[in-house]
Amino acid sequence: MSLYHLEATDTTPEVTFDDAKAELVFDGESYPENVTVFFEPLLEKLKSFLEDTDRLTVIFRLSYFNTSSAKYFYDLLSLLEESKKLVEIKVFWYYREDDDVMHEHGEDFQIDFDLSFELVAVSEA
Amino acid sequence: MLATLPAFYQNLRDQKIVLAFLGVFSQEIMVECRKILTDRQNIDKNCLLILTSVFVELTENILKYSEERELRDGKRRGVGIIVVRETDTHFIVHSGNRAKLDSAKGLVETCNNLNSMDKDGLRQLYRERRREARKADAKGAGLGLIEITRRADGPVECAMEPLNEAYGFVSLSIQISK
Repeated sequence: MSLYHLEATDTTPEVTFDDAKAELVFDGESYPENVTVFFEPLLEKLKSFLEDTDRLTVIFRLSYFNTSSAKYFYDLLSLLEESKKLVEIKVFWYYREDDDVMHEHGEDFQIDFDLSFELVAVSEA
Repeated sequence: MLATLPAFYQNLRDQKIVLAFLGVFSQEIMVECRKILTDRQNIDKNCLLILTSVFVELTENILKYSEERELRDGKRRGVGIIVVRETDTHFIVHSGNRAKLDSAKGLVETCNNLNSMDKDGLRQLYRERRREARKADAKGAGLGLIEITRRADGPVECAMEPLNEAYGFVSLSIQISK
C-alpha cells in the first residue's frame, strides 16, 4: 500500500493517488511548464496499478487546464478505457455549476470515452 | 525616450491597456501575469477563465515557438509581446512574435480556416485533434489555436508581416466578451 501525493503548485494540481482506497484525485489547475515531466511518472504509476486492481475511482476537481494538459488527461482516460474489462472504473468530473467551459470539457471527455463518467455540478460556497 | 515617455504612457492609458509584456518570457512571468488578470475585480468568472486561458495558450506559443530567442537560466527562451486591453464590452488579447516565413503563412491560413467554422465544428475538431495529437507528436498539433478560436467572441485576427526572406512577424488578436 502506498500513497502518491503531490502538493499543488502555481501551475500543477494537487494529486492524490491512494492505492488502499483505489482512488486518484486531481484538484486545482494544470498548466505545467513541462507536461511530460509532470504527467509521465503518474501515467507509469497508473499503468502498474491497473494491472493489480479490480477497481479504481478517478476524481477530477479542476478549475483550469491548458491544452497540453488536456492531451495527457486524454491519455490517462485512454488507459482507463483499455483496462475497463478487468477493472471497475468510475470517473467523476466536478465543475463549478455555472462554469460553461469546464462543463463542456467534461462533456467532451465523457463523449470520447466509453467509461462510467459522471459530471457533477458544484455550487459555489 | 525621456521626452516622449509621457505621451507613450498616455497613449497606453487611452487604449486601456490592462497588461503589456515585451521581452523574454518565462514560466514565472506567465504565472505572475496570469495572476494579475485573475485578480481583476467585478468581472464575470467565466470571462476571466477564458481570458486567462487564452493568455496562457498565447504565451506558451511564444515560449515554445518564437524564432527570436535569448539565453536565460541555461535555456533558450522565446521573445515576443503580449498586450491585454479592454473596452466596455470586451477584453482583447494581442500577441506577436517572430516566426519562419513558411510557418507564419501557415498560421494565417489555419486561422482563416478555423474562423470559417462554427462553435460546434470547432468543438468537434478539437476532439479529433486531441485524439490524434499523441500519435502525430506534432508540437501541440494546433490544439491551442482551436481552443482559442472556440472561446473567442468573433474571428481570431491573424496577420503576418515579412521581416526578410526567411522570417516574418506574426500578430494575433482575440476578443473575449466581458
